[in-house]
Amino acid sequence: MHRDVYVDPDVFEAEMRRIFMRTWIYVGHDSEIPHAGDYKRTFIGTEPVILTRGSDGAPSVVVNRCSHRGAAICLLPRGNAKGFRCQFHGWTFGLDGELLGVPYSEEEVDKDELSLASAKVESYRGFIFASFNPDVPPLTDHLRDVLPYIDRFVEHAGDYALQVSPDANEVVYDANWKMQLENNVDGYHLSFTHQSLFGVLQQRTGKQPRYVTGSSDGEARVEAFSNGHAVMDLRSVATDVLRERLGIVPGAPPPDADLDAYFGIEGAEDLYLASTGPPVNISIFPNLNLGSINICEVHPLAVNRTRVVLRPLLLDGAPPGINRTRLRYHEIGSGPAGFVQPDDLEMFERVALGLASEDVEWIQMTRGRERETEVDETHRYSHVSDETPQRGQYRCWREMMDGDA
Amino acid sequence: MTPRSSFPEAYELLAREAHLLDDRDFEGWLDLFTEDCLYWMPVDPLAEDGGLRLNVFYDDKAKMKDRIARLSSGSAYTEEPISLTARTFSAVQLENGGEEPLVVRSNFQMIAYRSGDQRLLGGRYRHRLLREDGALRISEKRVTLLGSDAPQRPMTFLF
Repeated sequence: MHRDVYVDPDVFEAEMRRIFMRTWIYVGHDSEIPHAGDYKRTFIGTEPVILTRGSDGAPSVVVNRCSHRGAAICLLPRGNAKGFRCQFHGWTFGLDGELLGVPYSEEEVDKDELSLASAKVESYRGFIFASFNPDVPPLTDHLRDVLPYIDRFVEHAGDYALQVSPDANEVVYDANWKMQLENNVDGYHLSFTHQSLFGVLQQRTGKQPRYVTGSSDGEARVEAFSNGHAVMDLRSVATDVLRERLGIVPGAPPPDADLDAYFGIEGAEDLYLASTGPPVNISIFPNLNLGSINICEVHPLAVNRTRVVLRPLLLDGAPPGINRTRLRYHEIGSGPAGFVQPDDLEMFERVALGLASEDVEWIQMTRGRERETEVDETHRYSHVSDETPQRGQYRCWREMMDGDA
Repeated sequence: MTPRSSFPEAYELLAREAHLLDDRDFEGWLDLFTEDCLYWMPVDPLAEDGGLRLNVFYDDKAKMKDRIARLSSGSAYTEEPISLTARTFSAVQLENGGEEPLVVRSNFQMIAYRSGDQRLLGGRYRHRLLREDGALRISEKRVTLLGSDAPQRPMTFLF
């Protein structure tokens, strides 16, 4: 991989046009906008947009820019409204972007022409995606290889509906956005970048926790799929580590507690253990990482600056003790003061520092190339520490960047 | 002890805490807290109770120990090189007419410095102080950070 992929501003601009304006981009979860009039301010690449729920229940995505003089019309991160009013000259728009009113308008105004530009919207099991490309293939076609993984993520806590936390842990780092996407399916870095977390676990549990070793060839594996999607499936290898992590959650039930009594429901043990989420990370190209119980949005800001938004998934109607466990579990690792995420960000920035070297142009992303199993052109799997997912992401990246646009 | 006389003692405790943190005497800092303490920063600056809300951190004493152990482990890489902090606090006021257990409000500003990068962070502290064996200890420290709900660079140092 050439260093320009991470550091060249021209590459970044081309990515916004050729990738973010052309494929499906994750914009939010159903539970973030449950009611008519609910909205969320977000972005498609660097394009400011608003995700809204119309009175007919259908989600819309419109550009957050008044069609008159270009002012942003939505400044709050989320809320509920009947529509949007530009405060500059008072133009009003419906939740689907329709231009409703132009104050002091004596001349005829073409309201169709001046409605807010909108994106195509489709969703799968609560995950809402949008695209500015009218010819984009159906969402379920785009996601086809990872649909079973999304199902597993959605179903990990049984029948409870997933409720995204309205609060988010947000971070920003000075490096390229693709670092975050790659990292979610990078099994190789876990034992090194996150050594301090394993140290804490070891101290608290008296056991040496390990996800991945160089030689283990257990069930854990990484897998690359069509359209740049990828998974890191830790399967049984991770189960013990994840359960141990629950034990260090503030307010965790004592080790010998009767969990049914503790949480006040029958079958509490399964629900309690589900607080770690399924032991599989899913990267959905180009801006969504799912892992543990988190939805992670990747927002490119500039070639060397990225915003990451992490929201834990709660369970609608579950005992409060279960949702408290989920929140506390999320807080162990995530956010700017977590025990996991800051060390990832540090490594992304160290890459940015190292890539200042123009003398050395290439980085290595070849691990496992010889031993990976090629199912077809895009579908490959390999040992959990291999760089098979990242190569898959960049196969898709190159295809989109090379295409006509 | 009359309520009014608690003020100098509470102020002294807050000052001692600030110096322990800036001196990186984390074990000494930990000793200021009760065993069943809470040290937390909500994401939403207006959140009243953090239990069922998402926080930047929500530590019991065991997790505070984990946090300190991690910082001292040599493998918490956001702290290599280390962050240095210098904080001031002011506008110290006792709530509830100074009745014990004390609720102490203050404002703070902190400079966090690392690797040539200097950040100014600020907000409000709320300490709950209990008297144990005659001495005040911190049973809860809430840090309301301006920008806690905005994208932040790592904040692995202590508030």
